[in-house]
Amino acid sequence: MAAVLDALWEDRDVRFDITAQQMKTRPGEVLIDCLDSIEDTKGNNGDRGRLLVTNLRIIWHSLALPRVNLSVGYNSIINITTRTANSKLRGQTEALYILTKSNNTRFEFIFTNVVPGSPRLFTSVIAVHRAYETSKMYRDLKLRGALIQNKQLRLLPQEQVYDKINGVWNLSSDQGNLGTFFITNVRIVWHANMNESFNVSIPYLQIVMDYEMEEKPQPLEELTVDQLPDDVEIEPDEQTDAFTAYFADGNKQQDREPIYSEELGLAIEKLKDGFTLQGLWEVMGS
Amino acid sequence: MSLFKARDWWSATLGEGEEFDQGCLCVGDVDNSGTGHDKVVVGSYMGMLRVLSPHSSKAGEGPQSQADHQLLEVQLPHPIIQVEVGKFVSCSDQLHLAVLHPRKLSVYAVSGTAGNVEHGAQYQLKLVYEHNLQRTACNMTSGPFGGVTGHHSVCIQSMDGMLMFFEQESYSFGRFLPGFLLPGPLAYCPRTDNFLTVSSTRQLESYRYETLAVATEAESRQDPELPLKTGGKRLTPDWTVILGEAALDLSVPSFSHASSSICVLGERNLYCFRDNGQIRFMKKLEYNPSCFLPYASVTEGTTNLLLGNHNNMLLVYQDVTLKWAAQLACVPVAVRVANFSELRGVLVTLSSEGHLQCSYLGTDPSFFSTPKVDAREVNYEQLDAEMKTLQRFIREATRTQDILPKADTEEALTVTTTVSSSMDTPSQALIQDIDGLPVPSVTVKVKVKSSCVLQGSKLTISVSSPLAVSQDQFTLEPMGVGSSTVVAFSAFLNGHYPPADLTGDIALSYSSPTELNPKGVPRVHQSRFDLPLALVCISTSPAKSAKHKITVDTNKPPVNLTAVFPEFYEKSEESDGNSLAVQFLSGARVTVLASKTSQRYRVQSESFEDMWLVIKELVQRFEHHFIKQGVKDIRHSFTAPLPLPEYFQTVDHHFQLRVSAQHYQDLLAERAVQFRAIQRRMLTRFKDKTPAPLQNLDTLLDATYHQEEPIDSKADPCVCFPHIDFTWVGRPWHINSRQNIFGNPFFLSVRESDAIPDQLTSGQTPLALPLQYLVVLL
Repeated sequence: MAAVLDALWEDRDVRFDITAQQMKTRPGEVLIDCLDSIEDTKGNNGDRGRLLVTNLRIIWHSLALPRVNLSVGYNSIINITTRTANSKLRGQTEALYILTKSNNTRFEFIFTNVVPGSPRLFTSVIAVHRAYETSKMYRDLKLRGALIQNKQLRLLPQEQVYDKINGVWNLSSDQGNLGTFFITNVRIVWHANMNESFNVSIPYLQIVMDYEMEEKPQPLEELTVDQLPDDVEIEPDEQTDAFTAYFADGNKQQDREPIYSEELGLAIEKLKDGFTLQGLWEVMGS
Repeated sequence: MSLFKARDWWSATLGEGEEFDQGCLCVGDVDNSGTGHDKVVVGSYMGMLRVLSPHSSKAGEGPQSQADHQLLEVQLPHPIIQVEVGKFVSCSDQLHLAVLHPRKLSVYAVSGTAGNVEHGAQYQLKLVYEHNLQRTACNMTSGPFGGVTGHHSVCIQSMDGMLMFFEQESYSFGRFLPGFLLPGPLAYCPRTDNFLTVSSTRQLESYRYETLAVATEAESRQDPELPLKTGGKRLTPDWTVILGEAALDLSVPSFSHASSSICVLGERNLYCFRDNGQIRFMKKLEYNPSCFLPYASVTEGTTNLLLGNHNNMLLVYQDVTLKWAAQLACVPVAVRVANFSELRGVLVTLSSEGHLQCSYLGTDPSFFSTPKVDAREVNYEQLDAEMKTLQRFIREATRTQDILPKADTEEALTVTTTVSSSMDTPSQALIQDIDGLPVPSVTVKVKVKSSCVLQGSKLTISVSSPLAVSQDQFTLEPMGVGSSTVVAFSAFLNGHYPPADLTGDIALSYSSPTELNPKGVPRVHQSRFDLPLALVCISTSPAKSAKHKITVDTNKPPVNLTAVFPEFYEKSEESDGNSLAVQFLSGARVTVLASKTSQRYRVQSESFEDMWLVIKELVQRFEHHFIKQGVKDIRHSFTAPLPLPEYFQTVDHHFQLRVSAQHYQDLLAERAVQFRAIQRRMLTRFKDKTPAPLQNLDTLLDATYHQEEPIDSKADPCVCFPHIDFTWVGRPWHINSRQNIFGNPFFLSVRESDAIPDQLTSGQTPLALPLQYLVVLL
């Protein structure tokens, strides 16, 4: 299951300098808009590039050097706003700010349209991201949600119920729960008959079927093959720190663990050794 | 101030397009789990009630792990204005959830049943009781009204200023607030059993519960016909404090009995009062606040409070001292502090769009700096080249204005001129013959080939007098890209003196349309052509002696003149190649003699000025001849002293002619005036109705006419002569082509010529000044 989920990284991850293979749309991924003359104002200021908007992510790549690129999955996006930014190609201009969080690291992206007067950058990205956000129910597992009303499944747009099976046990608790199963074209939904609020919605996208097959063991001769010792050493790809340009919080990759501060009565990020809250505040606040 | 950021501990986006406000967030152990850990309860204006149990998300966990953070989600049929957790059920000391709808107060029990796994736990929302409201609710407050212990009552403020009191399942009473206009925030102070609100009169008002209970029954006011209930008192506040501004929120913290304070968040100020209405402190805010929460008393006697503002900031105050500030992702409309199993003191903020965030205060200052990207190597050569091209673009852009088209590297059109090698038959010349010699003409063809669209093209031909052309102006049709047009005309001698120059000029004016300028930008193309010497002279027999002689030395062996001037040998039989003689149609005979032994050529003629064209032609043809043979370093020189006397003589002659021309012109003008005066008089005589004698006016007119005639004939050649001399005067310019005499306007009309090589003039520069001086005198 984990392997399958990892395989679908396009909408989950923020990746930098991806390969040409990874830039291609995966099965089910559709290119929605392609905007030329977009500048990545934060990481590649002054560099003209192309922005590809798919249903899973946005990809920006430099026109001069296509290997300079980035892929931002919609699921990692925390916030999209339009603000004024300073672009080398355009000067003061309206820009698209995207705040993302991927693997506990926050990245900020700023895209600027080099062609003046075209709001397509903003409308396109914001609209597609909104469509992604509002279609979460089709993709994500939902537990204990407001799925059932008056014993009926609240259908999603274009969803059709194919079957309703009563008497399905959920064995997640000791005594088990008897419930009802809805099978639709998008997902399967189960809810406890005694408690509508106890339910689960599982889109097919999240389901991995396990098949067990009996196989005849292969003859031993076929399995043993003389293995020549490898004399090739695979060097790992040279690591780039291109992503450092996009940190939302300066050069900080990860936050330190939170602790409770008696001084403030609130949870704070654990202080570095030798620092005190008051000292830090007095230096920074003055 | 935004040095520190709030660190995301857990966050969720609730719903799609749902709306949230101040009362929509509360925290508490609503499911009575007994652990004391808070759950987050969020209601929305769209009627969605959610109970969430945030956990910190560990690295590596997918988004699916957040699915079990939601304990309950129920769609209620009415909008949710406010949610409160408290002991609202009389026979139970368990916490219940009070949900305020516009016309209903519902109290629910949230119960959980643990499962084997996290996602196996089920939660249920059970309605315990509900009150339908007669009036539309605005907000509510709860507490142990009247000092009861063990359970909480609810007070709801309606939009029209009625306070409705509910003691759990039963309605107690309702009271109208005096002087009500618009509802303000409402709070209950358990220490003094007072209700606090900020009224439309912009003052903080405190009402005792007892006073409210015994005041005039609200219902009686509804129906004025009913008599007032006895014992009902007019409701008056216990105390009031003028704030002078509307309040956003009101809170009575109760974390310690020692600290008694009432906190009011105004639109511009933060106030803190004691329970009796005495002011403790007031803090002027330099920003637009959005929400606040007194959350603790860390030090005895002080109040710690959180304050959110519309600049996405969350500020931590201890009384009036700012202790910390953190940047949030969005503007909070409600803030709470919650204790979860993993972490205490978590900041829970809710934005109006439904961003629910549990965060802690970051302690790493974030300075705004652009981080360097080192990994991508820079190609300096490429960057240098790019920089250069860009700078060139910038230079070009700043030099030429927008409306002008870019200077094309290639010409928009090419003009090729072909001078026919043979003379026209019959001749197109206007003067058929001069002194019995037929005047020839030669056809010149001009081919115009355009590489862009041409409009309004005009071709103008100019030759120096006395040469003339059969047509000197051509209007060309508009031309497309790649098209070509040919025009032809004849050139011939049209005067009785030899020309100074045989070159002709072609000027083609046209306009090429550009995108910005559809009418086209006017442009001019210029080119020149050379007419053959044979146009103005014919070959004749050489003269042995002559008045004027000029010897041209060369550094190359003598050339057979037949090879250099083939056209003059066509007819003559004697072609020894050593001598050449040409007779100018309207001038002297010029003989060229080539030395058999030395590398010298002698040019001789009776007329000094007529030798110029022949010498020019000779030097030019020699150069062509040697260049064709591959010889490059050909030199011509003139060693003898300059024939200045002849030159000056000519200049003097010219001067004389000009003076006499002027004289005759004046004379002619005088006679013409006289002639016209006589004419006028005669005319009046003739017109007179009574005829009068002419009084010999006719004789006078005749005489004047006869006087005029000879002057006319004398003036005519004088007018012509200056041309000869102008051209002659032009010659020093040829000789001194190195001298900068452009300052003299006379010379501006004289073309620079490369006909005479500079060697001929070597060592003669001192001549330039006196010559120039002479010319100026002229």
